Amino acid sequence: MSDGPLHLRCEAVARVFGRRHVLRDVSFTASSGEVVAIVGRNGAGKSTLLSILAGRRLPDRGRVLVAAGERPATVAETRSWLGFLPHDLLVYPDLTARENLEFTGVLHGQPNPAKRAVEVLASVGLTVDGDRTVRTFSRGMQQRTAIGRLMASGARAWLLDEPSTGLDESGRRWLLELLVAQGREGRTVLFSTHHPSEVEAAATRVLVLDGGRLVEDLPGGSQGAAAAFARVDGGRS
Amino acid sequence: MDELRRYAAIVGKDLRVEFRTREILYTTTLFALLLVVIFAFAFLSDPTKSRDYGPGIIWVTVLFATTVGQNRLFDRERENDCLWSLLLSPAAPSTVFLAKATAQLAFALLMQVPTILLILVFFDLRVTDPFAFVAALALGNVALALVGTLFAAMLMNARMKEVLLPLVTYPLFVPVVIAGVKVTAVAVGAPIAEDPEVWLKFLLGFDMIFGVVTVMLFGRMVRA
Amino acid sequence: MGKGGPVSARIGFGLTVVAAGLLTAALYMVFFVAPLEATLGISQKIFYFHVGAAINMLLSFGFCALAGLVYLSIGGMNRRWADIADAVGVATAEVGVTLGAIVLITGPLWARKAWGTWWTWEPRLTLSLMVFLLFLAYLALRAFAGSDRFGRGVAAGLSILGIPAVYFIHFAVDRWGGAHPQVVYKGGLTQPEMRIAFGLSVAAVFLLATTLSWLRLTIERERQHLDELYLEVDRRLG
Repeated sequence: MSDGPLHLRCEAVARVFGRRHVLRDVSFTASSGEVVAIVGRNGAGKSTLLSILAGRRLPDRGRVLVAAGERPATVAETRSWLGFLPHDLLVYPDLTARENLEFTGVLHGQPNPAKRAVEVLASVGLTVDGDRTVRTFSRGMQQRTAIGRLMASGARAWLLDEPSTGLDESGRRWLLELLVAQGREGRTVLFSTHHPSEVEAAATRVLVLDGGRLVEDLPGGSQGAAAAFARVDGGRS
Repeated sequence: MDELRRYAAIVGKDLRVEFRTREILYTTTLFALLLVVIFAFAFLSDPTKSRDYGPGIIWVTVLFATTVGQNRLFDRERENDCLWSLLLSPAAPSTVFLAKATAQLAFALLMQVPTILLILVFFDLRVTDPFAFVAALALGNVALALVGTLFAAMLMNARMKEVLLPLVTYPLFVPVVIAGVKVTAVAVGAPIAEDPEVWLKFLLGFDMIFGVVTVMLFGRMVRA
Repeated sequence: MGKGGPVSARIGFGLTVVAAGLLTAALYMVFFVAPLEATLGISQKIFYFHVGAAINMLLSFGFCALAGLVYLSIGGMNRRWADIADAVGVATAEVGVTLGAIVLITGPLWARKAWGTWWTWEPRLTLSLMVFLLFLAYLALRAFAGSDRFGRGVAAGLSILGIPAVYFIHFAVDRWGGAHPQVVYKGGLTQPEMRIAFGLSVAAVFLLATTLSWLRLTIERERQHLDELYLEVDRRLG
């Protein structure tokens, strides 16, 4: 990993849908080594925030800045540094898991994508099924393929929208350990979730969204998770 | 160099998926063959006229069947929102666009070989100028692929994209069809006074100008 | 009243008055001053407004393409100017399509008297038809491909492609159509009064098109402004 630590900064980001705001002036900075959980009720703006950070959508006001140390990233760098795992998994259903990973490696200019694909298959636990098309996979296996995509892309920041969807209990534990490990390796990780246990197990920081507004920015761990979800549930009135 | 590898990877991916599922080739080729049969019934009551109708029928078949294929081209990018795995990658938007257009062109040409052979047989057409015949189809198909791919990508998620795509592209295709029919008519020996070279240059010019403009537009339209 | 409402309304009123005046003057020139054309008689008078509408239709679409170019160049950078460019795009396209309808109704009337058929594939009439269809497709895109930013961008792209398309369509239909009757080719503008009437008609239709575009633009801006007000309410209350 080159340059200084990676910073992902939201500056007063707002996003509009029709005549309503989905996000209202959201500002924060996430940096290398942080594993940030984004929590909030359905429709609080979690997915929109992640897709704006990833560049999938443009903000209507405000901006997203990606920087390495003090230096702002170029467009090409931004694209190769950010890895995105949305609800729609971005994997080709009619390619095999291995082909998907190899394809991602080539797109992201990674050295030796074929070899890397085999390694990634092993680490997401799909070595046996790697040559089946993704369409024949269960949702959990598709989710693993999509997580493998992030690994194969060599991204420095991971943006994951409810990444535990479809995973069984052991898969979920594996995922959380993976996210923690990414943070230790110096990646910036942001993920959205509805489960306090996931925040407790993986997050170093929790952001709470309510009605498109960033209402809390708490440290991770069990206390932060409890406070964050108290805020989420408190807003339910 | 990286861009070239990305381009090859995207084209290769599309071809691989196509040969695995055969969705586009199978359906468009069958559709084209049925069109030819229907045109034969519609126009062949007087066999002496086949040389008059033949070129037009070739181009109408090419146009219709290609449009059907273009509507399908981005289906596999829409599933799982895959187009964004390309657009969010470091690949330049122009690379993505040209790769998709290349795949589209390959599918269209593969579909047209049996179709056009069948038209030649059914309508008893003899190609007297093979170069002009092939050149017009090649250049014309490049034009269809460029414009069609641009709007097929943009309308990927639109309701009613099946109708919207031809609505938008056909007015732009009119000059291509005019030029194509002229050259094809000369190439099958129709008694008209036309210089195929002028029309081939016209098609080449169309390809170059629309090539530049569509490549430039793709990146901007996607980001808008 | 919206942003600069009173001013734009006053401009609209002024334009309306001038356009009405010019149109009246043009009609007077065409029917009471310009002499009857020898071979075509009264039907030649269609020509004045037919050509006036055709020229201004192409102008409208030119502005629409220009607005599309501005819209796509700005991208997401300046919302205000993107909104203005988009509004100009809708306004000019709708006015252009209206003028196109006039061209395509008066064209056959002229053709019936001049050449004895309702429709001829006269190159410029064919070009008008194709451009008319292209911008009908533009309006269809705007109506059905979504009015969000994405739909606007697609429509803008189509209008830009209209520029090279007009050039290629013009060349193709010109060569394709072959020879066409040269009688009254220039509309039979033999007398100086006819030329003055012609110039006045083109100018009058131009002002009419400008007025309509301006009014439509004002409406679109008001609509955009209303959307912003709703957003502002949502921002403060939500």
